[in-house]
Amino acid sequence: MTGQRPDDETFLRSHLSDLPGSIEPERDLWPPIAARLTPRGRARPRRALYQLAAAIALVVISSAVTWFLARKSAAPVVVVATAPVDRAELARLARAGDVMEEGLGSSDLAPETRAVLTRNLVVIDSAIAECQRALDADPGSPVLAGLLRAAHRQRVEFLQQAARLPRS
Amino acid sequence: MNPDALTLEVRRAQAGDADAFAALYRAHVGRVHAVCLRLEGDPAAAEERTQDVFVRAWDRLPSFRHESAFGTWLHRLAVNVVLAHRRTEWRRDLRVTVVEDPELLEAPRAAADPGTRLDLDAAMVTLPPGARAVFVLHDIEGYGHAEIAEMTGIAEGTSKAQLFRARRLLRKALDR
Repeated sequence: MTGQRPDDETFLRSHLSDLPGSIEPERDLWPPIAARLTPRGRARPRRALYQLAAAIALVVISSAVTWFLARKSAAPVVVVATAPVDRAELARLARAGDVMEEGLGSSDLAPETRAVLTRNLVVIDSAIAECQRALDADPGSPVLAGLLRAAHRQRVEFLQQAARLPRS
Repeated sequence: MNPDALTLEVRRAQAGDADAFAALYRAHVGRVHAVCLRLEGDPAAAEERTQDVFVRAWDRLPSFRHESAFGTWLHRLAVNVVLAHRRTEWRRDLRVTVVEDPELLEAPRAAADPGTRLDLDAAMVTLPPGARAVFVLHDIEGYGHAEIAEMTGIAEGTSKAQLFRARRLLRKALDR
């Protein structure tokens, strides 16, 4: 008697359940990692980066306030960001930022400069994540789509300016 | 490491304690390395990405808000680091035309020894990079095709075709 041959997914299921969740590297990677860690609290950021960070924070905060007012107010609120949701454009902007960030990662910036860049990218990434969560909850909102697009553009512009900084 | 100890180590590391971060590394390096190895398919590249993940984690740790488990946050970061690094090459590999027989699209990276019975990890190494990426993200990491499409910059249909191809090639490798 011959049984029915299982499909590929079913066949692989038992192999998948046997996969180890953890695979230790063959050598200890901690020493090279430790050598690359930037000590916290010792950075001396450049004035231009501080100014840029303040500008980004201002835009992010004002965008959030605009969205909040548009959402809460009974009266109609005029907002600038009213473009329709264009997920392809958002994905392009995200990828452009990733590629630039990757290039920056391999550049020879001074450690304190890199620390400032990283902290500000965290701020921008948080803004992007907030906008994305809000858009996930309200997928058709052109306001949220505009805010998300603006946040992605800020990331790209920030990375463009960072790429022009003098190297150590 | 129990949950309370883990939370304490994360908070110490967030405050800049490198020893605490070393403890987090010891507790999580196996899982991070596993996902890097499976996505990269190359031990040397996987070690490099694993280092990149922990350096990036250290840089971004101050923004971790304990809304998810640290391990989940770190795992997601690992996937993002590998994808960001490999995106350019994968975009080329993943841009395939959907045809009736996906096996015709691309030859496996390296032929396995015909006399050797493979386990799944070893078989995955033989997959073309694009198919391997989709298989790892979908069948191991649990992402949906829409998420994979967004993360890797391919169409959902391409992701489905790559998964079909990966499963078919893996079965062929394992079913000897």
